[in-house]
Amino acid sequence: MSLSAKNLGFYYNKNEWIFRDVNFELAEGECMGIFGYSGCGKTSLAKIMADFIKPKEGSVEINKETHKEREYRKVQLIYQHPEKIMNPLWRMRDILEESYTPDKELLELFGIRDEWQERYPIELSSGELQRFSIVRALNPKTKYLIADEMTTMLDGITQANIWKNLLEIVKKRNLGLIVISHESKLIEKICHKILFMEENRLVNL
Amino acid sequence: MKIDMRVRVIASILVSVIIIGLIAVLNLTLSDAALNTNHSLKNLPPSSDFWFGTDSLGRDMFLRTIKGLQFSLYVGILGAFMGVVIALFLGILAAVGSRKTDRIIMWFVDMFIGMPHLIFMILISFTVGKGAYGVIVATAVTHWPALARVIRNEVNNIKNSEYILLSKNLGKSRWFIVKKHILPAIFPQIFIGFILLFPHVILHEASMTFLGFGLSAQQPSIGIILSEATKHISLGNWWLVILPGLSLIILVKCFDSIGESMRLLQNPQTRYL
Repeated sequence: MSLSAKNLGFYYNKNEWIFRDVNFELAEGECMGIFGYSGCGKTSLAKIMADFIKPKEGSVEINKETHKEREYRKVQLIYQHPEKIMNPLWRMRDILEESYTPDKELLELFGIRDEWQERYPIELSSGELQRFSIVRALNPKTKYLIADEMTTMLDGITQANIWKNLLEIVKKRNLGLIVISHESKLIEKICHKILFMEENRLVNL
Repeated sequence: MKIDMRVRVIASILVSVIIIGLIAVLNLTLSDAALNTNHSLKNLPPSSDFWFGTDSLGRDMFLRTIKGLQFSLYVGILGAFMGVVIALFLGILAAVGSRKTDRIIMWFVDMFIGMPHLIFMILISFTVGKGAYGVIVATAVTHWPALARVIRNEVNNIKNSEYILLSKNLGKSRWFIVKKHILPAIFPQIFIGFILLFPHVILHEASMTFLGFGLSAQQPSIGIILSEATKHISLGNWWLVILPGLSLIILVKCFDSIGESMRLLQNPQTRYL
C-alpha cells in the first residue's frame, strides 16, 4: 500500500524543465516533507500528485494503479490559497458537502463555528477558509494528504493547534502525509523523510 | 448593499414587471374593434381621446401600438429564448467537449455569423412558410451564434479554475460540474445575453415586417407601424413614429433593467454593497 512517483517531470514552457526524474515512495502512515526555494516546483509537484495537472513525463501510482477518472481521488491536496478552491457562489455548507458530510466533532476540532456554514467564501478570512478546506480533504475515502503551505495564513498558536489535530487524525486513520513548508523545524519534527527539490535528493531522517 | 439601494433595485424590477404586465393586460382587455378604419378620424394628433393620435386611415394608434407590442413581445421572447437555449447547449458542448467538437461548432458559428443575417432570415421564413410562423422560426434559429461564442469563452475561462478541478478530483461527474458549477457562474452572462438578444430579435422582426416578408399590413406590429409611418413623417405627423418607437424603447429598457438588477442581487460581491 503506497503512493509512488515514478520519473516525474514537468514544465510549463516546452523543454524548460522545472523538475525531472523525481522518484519517491510513500507508505500509508508515513510522512514526507518537501523542501525547496520558491519557484523550484513544490506546488507543481503537489498538483501532479493530486491529479490537478498531468505530468509531462512519468506517472503517479497508488498501489500500482494510476489515478482513475470519475472516481474520488485517494490523494487530496490542501491548497495554499483556500479561496481559489471554493466556488465563490456556494455557501460553506455546500462546499463541505460536495466532498462529504463531516460530523460535529471534526468541525469543532478545527474550530469551525456553526454560523460560518451559512456564509459565502468571500465573507470569511483565508484562515477560516483553510479550516474548511482541511476538513473537506479529510473525507473517509482519502488515503494520502498533501499539505501545501497549509498554515501560512494563520497565527502561531492556531498553527500549532491545527497541526496537532491534523496529525492526530492522520495517525488514527493511518494516512500518508506530504508536507510542503518553508519551516524546516516543522518538517524535521514530523516527517520521516525529506525530499530536497532543487538538488532532487531524498533523505531519510 | 444598503437597504435603500436594495429597495431601489427591487423597485426597478417591480416597475419593469408592472409595465410589461400592463402591456399584456391591456392587450387582453382592449377590444380589436377600434382597429377598424374610420375616415372621420383621420390624422388626429394625440389628445385625451386618442393618446397616440390616429393614422391616415383613422385607426387608434395607442391601440395599434399595444397590439403591435404584444406581437413584438411574443416574437422577442420566443426568439431570444430559443437563441439562448441553442447557444447554451452548443456553447457548453464546445467548451467541455473534445477539441474536434469545439472546432465543428465554432465552424458553424462562423458560418452563421458570416452570412448576411437579414437575407438568411428571409430565406428561412420562406422555406418554413410565410406569415407570423415564418417570422418566429426565422428569428428563433438565427440569433444564437454570437451568444454561443460568448458562452463558450466564458466556460473555457472558468473550467480550468481550481474549484472545478477539485470537483473533478472529488469524483463528480461532468454533468454535476456543468449543472452546479458552470451554469450558475455563467447565469449573469446568459441573462444579459437574453436581454441583448431581445431588442435584436424585435428589430429583425420589425425589419422583416418592414420589408413586407412577415405579416399582412392590417395586422398590427411595431415594424409595420414604423414602416407606414415613414411615409407620413414628412407630413408632420410626428406621433406616428415617435410614440410607438418610444413605447418599443420602454419595453426593451424594462427587460434591460430587470436583467441588470437581477445580476446585482445574484452576485455575492455586490449583494451587500
